[in-house]
Amino acid sequence: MARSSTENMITLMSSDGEEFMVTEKVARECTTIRNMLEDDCVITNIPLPNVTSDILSMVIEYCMEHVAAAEKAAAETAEKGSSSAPAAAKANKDLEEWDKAFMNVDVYTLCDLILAANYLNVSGLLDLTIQTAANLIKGKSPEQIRKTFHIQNDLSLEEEEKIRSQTPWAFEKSE
Amino acid sequence: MTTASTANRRRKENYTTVRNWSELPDGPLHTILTCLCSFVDFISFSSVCRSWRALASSLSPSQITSRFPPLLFIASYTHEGRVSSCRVLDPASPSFSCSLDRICTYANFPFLVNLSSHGRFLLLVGRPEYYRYVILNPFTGEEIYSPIMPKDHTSFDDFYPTCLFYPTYLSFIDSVLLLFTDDTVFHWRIGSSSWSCHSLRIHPSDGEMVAIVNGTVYAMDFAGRLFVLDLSPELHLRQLAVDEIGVGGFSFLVDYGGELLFLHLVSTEMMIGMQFEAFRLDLSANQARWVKMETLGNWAIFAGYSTQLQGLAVENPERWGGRSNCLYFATEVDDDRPWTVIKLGDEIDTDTMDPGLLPSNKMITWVYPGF
Repeated sequence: MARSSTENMITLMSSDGEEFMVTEKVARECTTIRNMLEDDCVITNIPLPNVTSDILSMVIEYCMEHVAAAEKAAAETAEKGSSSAPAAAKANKDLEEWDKAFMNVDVYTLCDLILAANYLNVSGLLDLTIQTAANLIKGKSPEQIRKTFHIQNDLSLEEEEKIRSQTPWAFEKSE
Repeated sequence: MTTASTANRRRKENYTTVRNWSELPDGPLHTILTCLCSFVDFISFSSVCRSWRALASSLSPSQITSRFPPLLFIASYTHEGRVSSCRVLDPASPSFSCSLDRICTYANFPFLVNLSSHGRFLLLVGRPEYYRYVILNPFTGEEIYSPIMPKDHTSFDDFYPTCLFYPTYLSFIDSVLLLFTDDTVFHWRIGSSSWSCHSLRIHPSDGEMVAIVNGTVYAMDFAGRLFVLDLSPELHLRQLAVDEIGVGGFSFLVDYGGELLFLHLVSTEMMIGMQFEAFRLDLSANQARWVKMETLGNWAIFAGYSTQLQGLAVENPERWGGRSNCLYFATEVDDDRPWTVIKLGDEIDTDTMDPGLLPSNKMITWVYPGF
C-alpha cells in the first residue's frame, strides 16, 4: 500500500519517552488525538503521559491494521464500482480473525490496553478489549475470576461471609 | 525514533506498570459489567472485590433487571402441601441448575406469592386475628416478619395483589410492602412497627394487577380501569384518566423500560386461536392513552400464570441467545426447559398455555434473586 509522501506524519510520545511516528490518518483513529488535531491543526508532536511504549505500540498496531482494512475496502469499491458482498464479508472475517489473534495477550496487557483505549478513545479497541474481559468472566465463580485477573481479595472475612450467605446458591455448583 | 512500520508488539520482561484490575476506572468496568449476559455472572462479578462490588451495588434495580433475564424458580409440593424440592434454572446459561434446600425446611405453606423482581415470597402465617406476613428469601433463607395485621382486617380468604417497592437492589432501605384488598391498601415500611391502612374511596373491582414503573405504583382492575397509588405525602389511590381497556381473561402489567405495558391474551381475528396483544401507556400527550404495540422491539417479556405478578421486560435478549419481540412464558410442559417462547401476535397453541395443565403440586415463576 503506497502512501503519498505528502501525508502528514504525527509523532506520539509514550510515557517512557519513546517516540512513534504515524500517519495522521492512523493517529485520527484515536478520538482523543483527533480532537487535539482539530483544535490545533499544526500540532505534530503529542505526548501521551498515560501510555507506555509497549502499549502505545500495540494501540498503533491495532489502528494501522484497521485503517489498512478500511482503505483496502474503499479501494476495492472504487475499482469495481461497487463492493462485492462476498469479498467484503471475507475482509470482515479476516479482520475479526486478526482482532482475535491480537487479543491473545496476558491479563495485565489486556488491562493496560483497556486503559489506553479508554484514554485515547479508540472505540473499536475499547469494545474489543472490554468484550474479551467480559468473556473471561462468564461462567466463573468469584474465586476463579480473582485467579484469572490476579485480583487480590480485599473483602473482609465478614463481608465475604455476608456475600456467601446472601448468594450461596450461586456458588455451590461452581466451586 | 520508532517508526510506525516497526511498531510491532514487544513484551518487556520487567513490567514496570502492572495495572491492577481492581483499580480499573468505573467507566470501563461498568462497560464490562454490561457485557455480561447472565444474572449468575452478575453475582460472581459483584463478589470479586470491594471496588467491583461497589460498582455492582450502584446499579438501580431496573438497570439490573432490564439487562439480565430472570431465573426460573420451580417448587414442588408434597400431598400435604410441604415444599419437597426447589430448583432454579437460568435461560442465559443452559448448563446452570441449582437446587435450594433452605425453603424445604419450611412446613405447610398454603401459598407462596412471588413478590416479583426482588426474588422474595410472601407467606401469610398465624391464626385469625393474629395474622402476619413473612417475606421469605428462598435463596438465602432470610425471613422478615411483618407486624400483626390490623384486627379489623384479618379475614383474608386469599392473597391479594402485593408488591414490594424498593429503590436499591442490594438493600431493603426505604422498601415498602403494599397489599391491595377490595377496600383497603395496606402499607408497611419494612422494619417499622406497624401497618398503615388506606381505605379506598374508589373500589377497584375483582382484584387488581400491580406494577411499579419508574417509582410509580400502578394498579389495574379487571374492569380495565387504571389507578396510581401515591405513597407520599399520604397513601392515596387515584384513577388515571385513560380509556378503559378491555381486560380479557389472562392479562398482566410490565415495566417496559420505564413505560407501563399491558399485555393480554385475546382471540385471533378469525376467532380460531389466541394471541397476545400489548398496549403501551402513552403519557406524552395531555390525555394519557393506551397505544397498541405492533412489536415489542428488541425486548423480551417474562411472564407466568400468576396475573398478580408484574411481567419482567429484558432488553436485547439476543445477547444471551434469547429472542426479541417474544414472551417467555413459564410452563411445565418440558422439564428441562419449562418455558414457551411466544412471538407477539402469533397464534398460540393454547394447549401449552392452559393454566389447568399446571400441576397443582408445582409453583413455577420467574424471579430475580434478592440479596
